[in-house]
Amino acid sequence: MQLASVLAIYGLFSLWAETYLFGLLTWFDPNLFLLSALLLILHWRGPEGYFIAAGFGLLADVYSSTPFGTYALAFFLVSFPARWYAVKIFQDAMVTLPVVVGVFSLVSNGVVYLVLYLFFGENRFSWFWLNELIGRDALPLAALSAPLFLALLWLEDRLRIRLSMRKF
Amino acid sequence: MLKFLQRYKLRLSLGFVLIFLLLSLLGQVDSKRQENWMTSLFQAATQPLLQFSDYMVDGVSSIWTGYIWLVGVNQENQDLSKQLLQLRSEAAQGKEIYKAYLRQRELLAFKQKNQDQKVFAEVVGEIKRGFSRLLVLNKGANEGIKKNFAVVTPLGVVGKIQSVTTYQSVVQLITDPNSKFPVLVQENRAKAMVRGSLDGTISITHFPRRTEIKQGGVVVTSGLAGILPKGFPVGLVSSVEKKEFGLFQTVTLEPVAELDNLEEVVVILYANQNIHHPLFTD
Repeated sequence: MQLASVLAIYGLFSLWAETYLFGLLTWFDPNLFLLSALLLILHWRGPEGYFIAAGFGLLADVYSSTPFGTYALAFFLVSFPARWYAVKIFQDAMVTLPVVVGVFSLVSNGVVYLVLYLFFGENRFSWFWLNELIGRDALPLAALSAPLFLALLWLEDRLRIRLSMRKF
Repeated sequence: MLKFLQRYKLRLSLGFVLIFLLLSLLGQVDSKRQENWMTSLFQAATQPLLQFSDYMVDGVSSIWTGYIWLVGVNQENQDLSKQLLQLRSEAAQGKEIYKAYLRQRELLAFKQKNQDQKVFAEVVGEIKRGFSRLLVLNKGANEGIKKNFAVVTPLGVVGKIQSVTTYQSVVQLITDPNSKFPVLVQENRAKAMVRGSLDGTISITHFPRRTEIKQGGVVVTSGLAGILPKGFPVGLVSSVEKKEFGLFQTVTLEPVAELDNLEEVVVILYANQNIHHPLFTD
């Protein structure tokens, strides 16, 4: 029940922020679905992270013009190196979190581009687009990672669960 | 068999998810994107959330402008008195322009006797991601809106309806990288295809090299795809790129509709002058 609450809170917040809050800010387009999935994978470290990533990817696909499943597949694929990193290196190190999230954000967008390229012939890569991606998506996402990670820890305290110890 | 399933349940589940997602994408190779029950379900579920947010932001901004903002009103009042004198002289000039406007409006009303059937909708959400540029409207199927209906403003084309639920619809903007529709260059009637790009602009990538096109030229919808009605302004030519060799030139357009600050839009339910609009609704 508590676990479902954490997932529901993150899912709803991501949906609301993506569709409403960030629409009001013209210079800020972070992919909050990816951030939520990444934080859960990095902190939880369990194999459940793969499915959570796919789930948040499907949510991202609901409000997207790319073929349905593109984000889900990209998040799912990105969840493997993310979990590996979480288990082997990360260990809840807050200092490196923004860098890790920024890098995974770029990797995820790269995978989305690759999926679109392989399945749908997308080939309009430009450096301007990459710059935009870094400035409007990766950097804001990195900046948001620390407060949202702290929010996750706070939620754990409130709901008395420990995701990393798989006690819920 | 049961032991095998239990032993490899994680790997099997992961394989199942991967195959499901790959098949889902393969099924859309021709159609580019297909809406399904999940998109409808989640879009319907977020509608009250967006409506409530819009309502709350309106409330907070009215409190801000109505009360908190009044702190500096005395100074502002003095400044405004000075401006008033200047504005009075401008107002006399403005009256003349207004009268001319009324005359023009009457002419326009006469011209638009056969109006299209439309629905006015408010923008309650906006999604801008690397590969998507969408708007969420507060009107849906209950107002007669269907997939692929054109969305415009008095200035020009905004996009088309991508998906609809009962009380909400999602618009794919013309600047969306997956948006593609036929247009006409107003001056010489040359046909072309406009595409959104990853960097948020719109362009004609395969415009015949020998056909002349000038900067500032108007590009309008051709109505040929049966989605956007004919004759709506799409954009003004902002640059023309002609490479040394090749059959085509690339034309970049500046959208005429102000897509970054849209608050209300018009969804066209039926265009009277268009015999086939829209062809591909669900």
